[in-house]
Amino acid sequence: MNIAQIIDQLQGNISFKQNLTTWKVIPAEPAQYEDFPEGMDERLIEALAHQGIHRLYTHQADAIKSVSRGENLCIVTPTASGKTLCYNLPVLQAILDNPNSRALYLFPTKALSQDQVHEIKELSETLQLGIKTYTFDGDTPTTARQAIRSAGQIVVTNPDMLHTGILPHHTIWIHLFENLKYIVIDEIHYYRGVLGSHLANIIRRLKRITSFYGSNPQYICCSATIANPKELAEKLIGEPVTLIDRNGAPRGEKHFLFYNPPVIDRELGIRKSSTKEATRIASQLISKDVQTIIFARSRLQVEIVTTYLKDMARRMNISEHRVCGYRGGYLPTERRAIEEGVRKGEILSVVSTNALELGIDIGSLDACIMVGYSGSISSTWQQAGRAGRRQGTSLVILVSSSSPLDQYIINHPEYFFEQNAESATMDPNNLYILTSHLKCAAFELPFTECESFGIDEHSTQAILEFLQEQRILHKVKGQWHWSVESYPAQDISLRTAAPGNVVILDTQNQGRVIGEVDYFSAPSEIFENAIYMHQSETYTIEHLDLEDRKAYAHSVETDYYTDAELKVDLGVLNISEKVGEPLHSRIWGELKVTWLPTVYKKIKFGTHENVGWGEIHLPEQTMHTLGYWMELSEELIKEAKVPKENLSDALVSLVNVLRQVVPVQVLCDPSDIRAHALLRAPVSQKPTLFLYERYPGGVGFSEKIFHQHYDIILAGLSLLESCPCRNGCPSCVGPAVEVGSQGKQHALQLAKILTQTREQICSIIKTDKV
Amino acid sequence: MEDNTHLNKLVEKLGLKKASELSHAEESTKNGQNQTENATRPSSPQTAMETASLLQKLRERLGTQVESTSSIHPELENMHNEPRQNLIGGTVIGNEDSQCLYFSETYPDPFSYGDVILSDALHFSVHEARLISAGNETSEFDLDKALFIDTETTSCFGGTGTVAFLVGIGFFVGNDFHLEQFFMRDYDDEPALLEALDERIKTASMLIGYNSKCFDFPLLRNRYLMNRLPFNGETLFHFDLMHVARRFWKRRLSDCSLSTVERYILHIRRYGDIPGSVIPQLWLNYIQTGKTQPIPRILEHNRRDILSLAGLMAWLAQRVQVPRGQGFEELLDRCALIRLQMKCEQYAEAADIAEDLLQQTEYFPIRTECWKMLSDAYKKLGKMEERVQSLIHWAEEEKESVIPRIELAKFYEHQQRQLEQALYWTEQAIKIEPHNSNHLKRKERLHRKIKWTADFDYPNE
Repeated sequence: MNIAQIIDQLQGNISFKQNLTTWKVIPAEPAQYEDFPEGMDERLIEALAHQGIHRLYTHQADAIKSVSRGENLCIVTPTASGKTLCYNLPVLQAILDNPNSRALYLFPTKALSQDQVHEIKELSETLQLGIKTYTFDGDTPTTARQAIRSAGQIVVTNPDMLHTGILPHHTIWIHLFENLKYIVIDEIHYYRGVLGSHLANIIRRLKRITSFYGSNPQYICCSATIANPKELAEKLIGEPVTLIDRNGAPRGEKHFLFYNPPVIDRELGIRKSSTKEATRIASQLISKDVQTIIFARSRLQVEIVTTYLKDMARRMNISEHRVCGYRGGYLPTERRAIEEGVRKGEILSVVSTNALELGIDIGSLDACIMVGYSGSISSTWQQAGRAGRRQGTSLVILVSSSSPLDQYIINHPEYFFEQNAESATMDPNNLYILTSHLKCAAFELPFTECESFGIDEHSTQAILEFLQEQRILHKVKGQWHWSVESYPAQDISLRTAAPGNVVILDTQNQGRVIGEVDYFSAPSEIFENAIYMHQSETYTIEHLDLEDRKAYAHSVETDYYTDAELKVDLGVLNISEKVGEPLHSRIWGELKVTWLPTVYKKIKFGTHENVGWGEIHLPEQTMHTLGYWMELSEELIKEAKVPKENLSDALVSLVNVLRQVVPVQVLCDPSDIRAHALLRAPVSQKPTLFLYERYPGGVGFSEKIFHQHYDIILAGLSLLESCPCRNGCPSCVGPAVEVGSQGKQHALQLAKILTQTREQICSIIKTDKV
Repeated sequence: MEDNTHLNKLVEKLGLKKASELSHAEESTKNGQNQTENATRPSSPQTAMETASLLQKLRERLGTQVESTSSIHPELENMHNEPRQNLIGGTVIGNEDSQCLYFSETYPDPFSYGDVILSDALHFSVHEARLISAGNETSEFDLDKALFIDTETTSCFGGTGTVAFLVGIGFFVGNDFHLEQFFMRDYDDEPALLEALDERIKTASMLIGYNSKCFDFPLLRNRYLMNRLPFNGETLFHFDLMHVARRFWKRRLSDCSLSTVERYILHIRRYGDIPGSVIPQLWLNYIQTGKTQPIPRILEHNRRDILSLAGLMAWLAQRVQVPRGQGFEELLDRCALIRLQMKCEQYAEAADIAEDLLQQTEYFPIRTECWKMLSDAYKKLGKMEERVQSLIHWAEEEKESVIPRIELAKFYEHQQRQLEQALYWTEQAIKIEPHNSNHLKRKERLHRKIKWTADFDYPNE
């Protein structure tokens, strides 16, 4: 049965349809073609014909023309629209014109670069010119590195390797840098917030080096749909870019369904489990041989859904190997095998975390089911994009959970469909990050007196002088030289990657490695007696050795899984600055955030009932970071007329609003900042709102928030006043179910008093002056 | 106020030195604390103003007020007024754009260094060089035109930010040994140093260093490239003495660093020497503070390194020339010599020395190795009778050793076709390793062959 028939069938299924809150049909779009642009190498055209490509889509042609005009560009197109040809064609053309030409490809993760090399190799094999494409990352054997450096025509790597492995050793990469024509940065929407600031500064370093070797490469960036791709690309590369977004790829009809599981207990408002409902829908698709991808919210959920689906497949006499889980923590070879299985259609149903949201090539599937809302509009569209071949209909079903956010989205489909995708914000001039990379840059090439590094000349010189005072640089004859014994790139990590993964060993199978879990998640996922699931096999953890990064497990038959509860605590370590404002004070300083897994529940497969619990005995994990907080006085709360019993909701509402506006004000990504409200903060005993940085050590957002205190409250206030929702929505204070029906109103009152008092004082000062 | 924890954090994060390590840190921290109270709000982002004010904050928190460099380091004040070489010595060389310091010294023949006379190094022939290089190509080996080279650098990590601030070279003029050093008084002296060095490199045909293939040479190549200066070192024959040292002394010495080799092989003790690991920091201190005091000791350290390189060549030259490895006092060294001869396919010589060693020592590891090399050498020489004898002796001597037994089994099975003999030695091996599947397979195969031969009366070739 094909997907169109299934859709027909669903349309007639009343019991299914009554749970839908929306059924949106996104119409098909025909392909828009253009002929190959003039000047394209005949060999290239022939190779494409060999692959069945006789014309280009408009966006591909646009991209090639823009590149040949010498522009930098940013290509925005949906999944599976032939994006890679947009950059592979100009690069291959340049190499055909002159075999000495070089290109550098940057992908956010190792997995993506592996994939890309595979694709270019295929095209260059048809070309039969043996274009040398290599991945250069931490896994590249030392013996191969020499050949890559001197002969690699296309070098594929990631920002981390460029930062520590290539730029500080640019002299041995002379062949690459002297002949560098193109730099391709794919998946730029990934570089938001702190990671984006890092990459922008790495590009600044890269530019100093290419200009030292006399090359002036063009930049080709690619992005998924976000609100501001052009702006992001321009910030990343520090140059104007041409936006290519006239998508010419055909699109089949897409049916986007919002499914709200039925209420089973009217009094308590309890709904059927989204996991089970999603599984039920998925199994129907499996039975009809429809290739489906299921996105789950967590690694645990991936395993649970996989277990259920494998079980259903067995009952339907379908090989259980045609159902697969996919998530971080699977070993790389295992992941490659699954990707290939999906591409070839051998795997009928793949259950994944957002790991498959990025551009890993698994081809296109017929249907996509999302178990719960991903929390972001742009990633929901990206997940939905996994379903939909160029011709034919596709089906996307969002199955909501009972969380307040999900319930809001499912009941306000217009909020989702009419809203723009989120914008990606980042600050290339974050002083901490910029200074770190300026140090790396000075190590790579001495700075001269009239040089600037992204920022204006005067500021650049000021930082250089500052580093000279610190005896990190040494100035002689108008040049600043690196003058410390150490190697700066080593101490600057681009990501918050935990120090080493914990591997899980099977004690019954000679210590074979089953999987891995990152260090920070280990205490809440693989504690002693936890059930660890891998491709729906269940193992029980015998012992977790965090120090040696090892967990010992053996296979067991269970009918339950485990779920840990985490207690999060905030403590003030040190106050950097505190300023008393009327009726409240603003503070920034160092915070200690601790997570402690306390107990775990045993949850039965199938019924999801709680069948027992146990204690977890593990040390708490802590992170030191920077934070900003606001202490409110009794008077302020009285002034704002917020009743005591509603104060907690009001504080949560207000801090949620502030968290919404902060990224715009201090140029970070929403995920860089976390919010927390306490009715009585330890020590001060006052109602307190916290905004803290997610990165160990922090990168200075808190200080910026502190200085823009009133701007942020005012921005929050105007957001509250302009948000059309009545009792709160995910765009402002959060859904009413989470913050109470009065939350929005009370937050508004608090914000007004906070800013009013200041206005009064300002006016008093003004009258004084008069 | 507990400002210090935060301060230290920031210092750590930016990878800076601890505030306390900087002069005047204490006073300015106090100033900083007063000022944080009335800190100003920065204006719109990304202007020079903001950067300046943020930097001001950074300074305050780090406890370094904006002061002119000279008042932080008063010693810098007069630094450029007084020519620094007066305190270090040496002559200034170079052109108007760049100059560096030059030092030279001659060690007239015969100059004895530890146990050797330096000019003995000159006796090295191409043939002997090939031997100690384990058979690698050495046709361009020519000590008369060799440059011994050693660099002192600003870090041991390499990378483009590492500079060789001192390069020492040594070469023979006749039988006298000349040592020259080029020294940077600051970063701007680098072009002069590189140009002067390249003048010497141009006239040489070979470079000798210690770990120079992996460290000194790539580093110098970087420096020439970074300064856009021509480098004539690429075409030179490169001889790395560390590889030779490893071949000889990997088993005898705890490590093969130049200082260990010099101490235990050349029997040289340096008194008052600075450890190589602190040299980078001393030079960096010197350029920042003008403290010249440790510089003569760095120069001395570098001179010693060059002398040791030449000394090591002389030590080896003295010994390789003596027939039958008699020049090497240590039996382990002689054993290493046999290994090298085997690699150079000098089987007759190798067999002779192995025979000698078996006469001379009861030391078990040496004997095992000698037996192995002896039987291999005979095999290569086609002396089958001697080979069998040596294997049998070896087997008799080492009752628990499988190798000679298996070698004998192979020999009888494949070469002699004496299947019963082969079976005998295979069974002997199985007694030692009863579960080794290779042995068991061999035994099975031999049984099959024997049966086959008997059944069909297969003619014995």
